[in-house]
Amino acid sequence: MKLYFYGAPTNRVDLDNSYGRIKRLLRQTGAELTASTERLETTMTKEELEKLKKAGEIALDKMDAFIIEGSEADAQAGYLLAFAVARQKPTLYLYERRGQLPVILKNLDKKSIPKTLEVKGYLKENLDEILQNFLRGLGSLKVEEVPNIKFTLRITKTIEKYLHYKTHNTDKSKADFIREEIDGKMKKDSKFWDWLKKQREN
Amino acid sequence: MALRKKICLLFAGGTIYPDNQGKWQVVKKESDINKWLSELPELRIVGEIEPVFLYGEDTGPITSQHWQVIAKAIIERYKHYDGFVLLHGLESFIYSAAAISLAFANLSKPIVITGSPLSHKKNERLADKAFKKYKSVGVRANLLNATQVALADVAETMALYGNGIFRAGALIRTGSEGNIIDSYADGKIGHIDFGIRFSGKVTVRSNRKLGYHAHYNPQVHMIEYHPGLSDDWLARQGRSIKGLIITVKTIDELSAKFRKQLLAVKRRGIIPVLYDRQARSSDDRQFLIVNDMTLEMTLVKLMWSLGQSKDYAKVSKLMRLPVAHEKINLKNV
Repeated sequence: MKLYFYGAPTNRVDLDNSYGRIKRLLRQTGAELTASTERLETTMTKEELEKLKKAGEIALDKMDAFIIEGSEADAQAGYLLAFAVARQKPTLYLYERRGQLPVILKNLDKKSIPKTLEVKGYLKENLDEILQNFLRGLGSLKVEEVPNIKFTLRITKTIEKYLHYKTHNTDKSKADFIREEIDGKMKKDSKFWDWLKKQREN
Repeated sequence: MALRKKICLLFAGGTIYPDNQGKWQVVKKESDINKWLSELPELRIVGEIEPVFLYGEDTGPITSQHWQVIAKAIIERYKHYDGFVLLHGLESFIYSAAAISLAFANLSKPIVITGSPLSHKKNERLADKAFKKYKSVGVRANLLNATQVALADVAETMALYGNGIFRAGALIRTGSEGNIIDSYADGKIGHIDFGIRFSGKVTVRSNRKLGYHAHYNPQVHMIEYHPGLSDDWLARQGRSIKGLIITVKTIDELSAKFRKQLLAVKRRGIIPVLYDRQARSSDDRQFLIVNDMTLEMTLVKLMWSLGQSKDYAKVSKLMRLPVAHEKINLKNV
């Protein structure tokens, strides 16, 4: 899967850090990433790009999904957003949730926003989660979710013994074991994924 | 809040595209525009689009009068917009692009010509197949890219097709389905891969005094010279003709008799132009030789020059004068 990430060149260190964080997370999924921030980095080879050029095709058309950090949106961010809307490609438009909705988005009326476009205001704390949710919706990507929700669980003595039996002399904690068991069950539950998809679309 | 950039979108054919429901959208009359634009919400993200209807998809063959209509529409609105996008049908695209590029000298903002590669006369199934295969060249893609280029820091008349951005006066039509419109090396000024990219040689926006000449004399004929052909037809060229382009493989092949008859044609007030892209020099005391423009541009430029004067010396001077970056290196191509 080919992902495209864009963040307008910036002098702000915090925003630049967010760009770095987004790129790291996208690379972790195993996707082929093209990222344009201060400079363009792409996994596409010169030969691939030359072939597209000769055929009259646009490299952006080869991307499967777009992630745009539009807190300091410039003309290129607008162009990419317009491109993604026109092609109805899955797109995540991110902006820092401390200011107003970016002006660029005010030019799109609700009726013409395609279902493929997600607009999300983010904080430093939930950036990973927003990205992971979006990436999970794309399927076929390896998205490692960070377990950051605290949950108190009362268990029986026998279950406790069972957890000890399964995890002692391994590098797994009891919590890891429980998480993996639930994760395995969840992955196989197609009804749950259909339900989740519907939830996200709404 | 900064004002939104304004783009004037001129309709002159080249409007066919399939919408998201697979229904074909086309502008045949002015009242079709609103529906046509409503299917393209992405344009509103880029800038404020103001449409102007000039003629529809069903207009017959494009003539010099159509070029005047286009040029007039631009000059009347020139001050009010940040850039212009002209939608035009593919059949006469190159000629119209040449004509519009000559009409405006010293531009201070861009004029971008683009359009749909799909002809309304074509079988819809074939058009559908072509569209699916070459999404990048569909009018929807071309228009979005052209709109972005119309707001860029460039002040030239350009053509945009597929992934190429070209000088409007240096275009060629190819047989390729992907790059239908192309140009010689000098004429290619940008391309689109992950965004719009210009090469370093473009003219940027600045306050210049605009030059405007949009009169084209259509009384021009074009013939192809081959050795061994009868020369008599040259003597029979009608008096209604004011300019005659003769394409030759090489100037040196012209027979003495042909040259003599060509001089007689010139004395009758017809301006002969010898088109030889491989000619070593354009200096010839007797005739005007063109070796630095495309054939289409040579034809349109002769019409444009004759629209300003019928005097051989003046026309000759205009033909040699670079007006819209139309002078290119055609040798060794």
